[in-house]
Amino acid sequence: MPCEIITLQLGQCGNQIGFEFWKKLCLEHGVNPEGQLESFAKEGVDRKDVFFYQADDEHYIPRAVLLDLEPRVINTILTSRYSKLYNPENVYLSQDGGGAGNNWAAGYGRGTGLHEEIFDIIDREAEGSDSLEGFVLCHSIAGGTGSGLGSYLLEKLTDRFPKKLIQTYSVFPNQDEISDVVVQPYNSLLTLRRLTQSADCVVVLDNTALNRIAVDRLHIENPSFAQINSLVSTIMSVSTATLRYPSYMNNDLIGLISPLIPTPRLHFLMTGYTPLSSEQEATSIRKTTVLDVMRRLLQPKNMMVSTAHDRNAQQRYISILNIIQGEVDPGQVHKSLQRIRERKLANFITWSPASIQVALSRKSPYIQTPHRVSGLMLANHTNISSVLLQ
Amino acid sequence: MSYSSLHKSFTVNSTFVNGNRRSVTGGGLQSFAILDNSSFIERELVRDLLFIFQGIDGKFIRQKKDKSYEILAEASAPIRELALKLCELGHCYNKIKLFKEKPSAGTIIQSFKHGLDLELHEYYRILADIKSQIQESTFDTPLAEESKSREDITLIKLGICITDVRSRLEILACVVEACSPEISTTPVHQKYGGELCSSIHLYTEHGDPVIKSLAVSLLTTVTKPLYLMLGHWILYGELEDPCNEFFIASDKDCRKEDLWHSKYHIRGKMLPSFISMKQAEIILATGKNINFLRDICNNSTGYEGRAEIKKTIEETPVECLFMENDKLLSNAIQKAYRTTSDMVLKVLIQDSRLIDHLNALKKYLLLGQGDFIQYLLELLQKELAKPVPKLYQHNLSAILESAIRATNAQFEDDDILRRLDTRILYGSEKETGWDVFCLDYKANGPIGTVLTEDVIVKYNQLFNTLWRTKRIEAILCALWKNQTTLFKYQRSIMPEIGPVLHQVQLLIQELIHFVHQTQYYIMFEATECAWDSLMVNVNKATDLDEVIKAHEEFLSTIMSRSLLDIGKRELLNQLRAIFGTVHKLNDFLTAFDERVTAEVISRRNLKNQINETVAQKNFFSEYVTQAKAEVEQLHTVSQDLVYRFLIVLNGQQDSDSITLQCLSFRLDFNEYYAQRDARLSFPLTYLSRRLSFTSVNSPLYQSIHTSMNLSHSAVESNGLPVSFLRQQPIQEN
Repeated sequence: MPCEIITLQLGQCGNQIGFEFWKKLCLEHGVNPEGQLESFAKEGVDRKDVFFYQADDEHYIPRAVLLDLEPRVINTILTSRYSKLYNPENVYLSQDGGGAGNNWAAGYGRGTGLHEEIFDIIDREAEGSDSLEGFVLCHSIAGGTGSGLGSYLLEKLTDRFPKKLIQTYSVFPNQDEISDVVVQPYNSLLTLRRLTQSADCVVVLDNTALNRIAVDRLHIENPSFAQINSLVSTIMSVSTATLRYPSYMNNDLIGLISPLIPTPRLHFLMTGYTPLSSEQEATSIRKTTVLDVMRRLLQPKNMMVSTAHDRNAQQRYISILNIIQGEVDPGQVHKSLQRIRERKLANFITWSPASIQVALSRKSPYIQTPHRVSGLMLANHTNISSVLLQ
Repeated sequence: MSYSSLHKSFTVNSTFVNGNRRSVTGGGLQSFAILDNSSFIERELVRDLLFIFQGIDGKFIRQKKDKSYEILAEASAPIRELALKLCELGHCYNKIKLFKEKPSAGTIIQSFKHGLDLELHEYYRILADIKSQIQESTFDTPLAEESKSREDITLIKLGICITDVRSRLEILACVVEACSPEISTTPVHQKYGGELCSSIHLYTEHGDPVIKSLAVSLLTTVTKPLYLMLGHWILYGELEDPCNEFFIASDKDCRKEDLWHSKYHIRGKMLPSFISMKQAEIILATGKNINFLRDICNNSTGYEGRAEIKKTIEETPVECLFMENDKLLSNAIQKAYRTTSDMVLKVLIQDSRLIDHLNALKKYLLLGQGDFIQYLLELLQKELAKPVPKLYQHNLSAILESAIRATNAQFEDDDILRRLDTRILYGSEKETGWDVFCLDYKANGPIGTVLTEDVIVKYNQLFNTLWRTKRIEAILCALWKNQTTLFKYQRSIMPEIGPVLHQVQLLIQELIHFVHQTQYYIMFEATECAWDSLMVNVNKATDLDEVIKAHEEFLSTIMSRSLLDIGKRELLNQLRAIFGTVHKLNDFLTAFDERVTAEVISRRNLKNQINETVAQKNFFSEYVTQAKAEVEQLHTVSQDLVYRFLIVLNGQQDSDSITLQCLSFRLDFNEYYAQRDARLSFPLTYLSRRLSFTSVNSPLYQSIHTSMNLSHSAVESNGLPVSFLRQQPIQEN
């Protein structure tokens, strides 16, 4: 089976969002917390093998590697309902359990020591797949393990698997709050350098924007980590939807990101998702059409990255990929594109041809959503530089 | 209708006339003698006429060779005139008789003859009646002179006696004449079957009620066999038509697969005028449905309500066929049509799962199942690079099998997978497997009626085109990946190839954009939109023909939107040319990669020998400069090709130009090309439309034309100067 993807979850944040992501995947594919396929999910329109593999007893096991230097988060996972889902051999906890102490250098330094053990796991996973397409790394760039060990892993992965793609879901720290971790900016900076050099595609998840969205759009006063993480998991699952539900195009990671990234350095992507709704306000008065979704995706307030709101700043899109899910009338897509162009809702770069790409994807048949159409935008935008500058 | 009563009433009248005449002419003896003589002749003529009426020559009246009559006896002009006029009836009779005696095949003609017979019986009866009157008047002489003169049958009286029957016979003669070439004066061919019915039907709308009723009764007789055939066709779908008289014909040599399309057709000539074409089509469809169910679906149980319809048909009088006031028969036909059509659709859509098969075609032949296609592409890469003579079907099939097993296609229904196969199109020896490979779908059984061989061939063509596009996408993706990895590599070891890589990346990006947008266009505007309307139409369809039509429309829409029309050859060629640059780029980059890798290795080896490294470095930097120039040239060529493609695209002027503009719109969403090329900044379609109204030689048109030519020549000439110019400053450095 081609195009397998191995997920690496690093550190506290990485494991949390990874955990949410797997929960979501399990729901979408109809896999129950024990890894068994639910009886209603045996039709096989989806490709489970991209993210899961089957054990001898037909259990679906995630191609995931859980790494942390302190046991807290992983222990929560292992005591939850999903504990039997993961392959226990793929869970690596540092023996002394000290953690990296929010220190990039500590994380990075520990990496050298743990090199053998970690790569044992990764190699085993890689060999277990027929044609590995790449790695997905979940981590935060501010903490200790996620950033430090993550950076170390990024470098080593590039050396070891030069032909494999590395995509990261990187959580950027919240800038509205003063962090209690003093070294956070340094951590971020050091990690960013590795992300620039070694990763092929970075999906930026900005905590600032996520918080803002949770407060403004979902009307949650004090968004908890769980709520924000569910937002993140939504993004992660939708952005991989085309890989898991094969259709005409964008069936592998490279097909997904190659049109988005013109030159290797420009690989920081931002995301937007609409319609957003939390579980509390399930009933929605919104009417969702393709045009609606596509227009809303272009609004900065739905962007999961907080960029400087300066319209004069000549910031432009390099490329956009919209993944639309749900019941879509294909004729509408073109009309929407035309409307967007007429009204100049999206500014594009002038040095190369570019356009909005629209991929239709199937929704998981096992989850009911209140919306007819929902969409995710992956965009390569020059404005991302402002985030990187911060 | 009683002719004898009519006759009697006329007899009274004629007595009165005779009396009158006598009072006028009664005068001299001579005149009486003449009268006597003339009345004798008249009597003879009347007798002769009775023979003539039966087609036999009389004593004084005779038919000449040219079919005109002559009177041998001396008689006064009015009498001659009158007698000759009456002879016409004999002429009519002769015609009818001639037609009757002529041997002819065909049940409808036989029944027509039978109808004529019935009419002639009546005619004979009247003749006999008249004859007996004459005999009475001649042989009963001794009884009373008075009565003799009173009962005398004159020509006038005879004429009156036969007026009615004459008009009937005239009509019959006309009909006969219209149907038969031997009798007719104007050239007509021998009519039979439904045609005959039509020509009789013409008279049922005659204003004269007598003629009308005659025509109706005649038509009733004539259409009896037609009615039986019709009943048989509608009830059992069988044609009992040995003499090709029915308006539905079948082709006996037709293959089973073509049953629906070409076995049965309507014989327009045989279609009676009282059955409209629309009705005939319904009748044809009904029978076709029954045959389809029996022969192809092996369902010969008959349809629901057949007994009822049979009863209706048996009970309904034949006149229903052509009398418009009665809807009983047409309702029964309609019902049979509905029932059988529903059955056929049920068999196709529910039992044979037509929709699933169409979906499978969309998934596999139109590349909807992306993971499968991608994997197949990967597996086939080596095999398809071979020239055509070295391709073997079994190899390809084996690869297909493994691709199915490895991807989500394995969850597909077995029936569908069994139908899926590979196919090698006909190709010359120079071509490679890429040009001739396509997937095939075996559509036998009921679905074969919708998915005929022609249809599958069209699918094959579509597949081949889409497959090529997919291949280009795959190549570009691989290039992109290589570039990304090479970029990581280059940064640390060889900074000098940076500019080349940057140029290459830009070019790759442009091409990726182009190919992706083309594919999105094919997916949305072509496939998905057409698919949507296909589903709507299939669900709406009430019979198989509508389903077939909907599917044909679907295919032709996709074909035309995927630039496979004949009219879009130019576009397709342009597209191929653009794809050609991708291949060139691929070749170039392979060579470049090899060179760079070799360089890296040699640098590692020669690390210590400084002098040689310098020379090597110089040599290598020259190569890099060259490579950069080459990439730039490729870039210009490909951009120019894209420009031209867009210009031609904008210039398209057929019904699909709107959807084609979607493509150009997608390709140039941010107006990148439009800004660089003034020719694209306004929609050419309107311009050229306006031009076509004015004149082709207008200066505007010419300027466009020349500029297009210029761009054409620029491609060839551009390469050298650009590379030359770029090379110089670098060499100075």
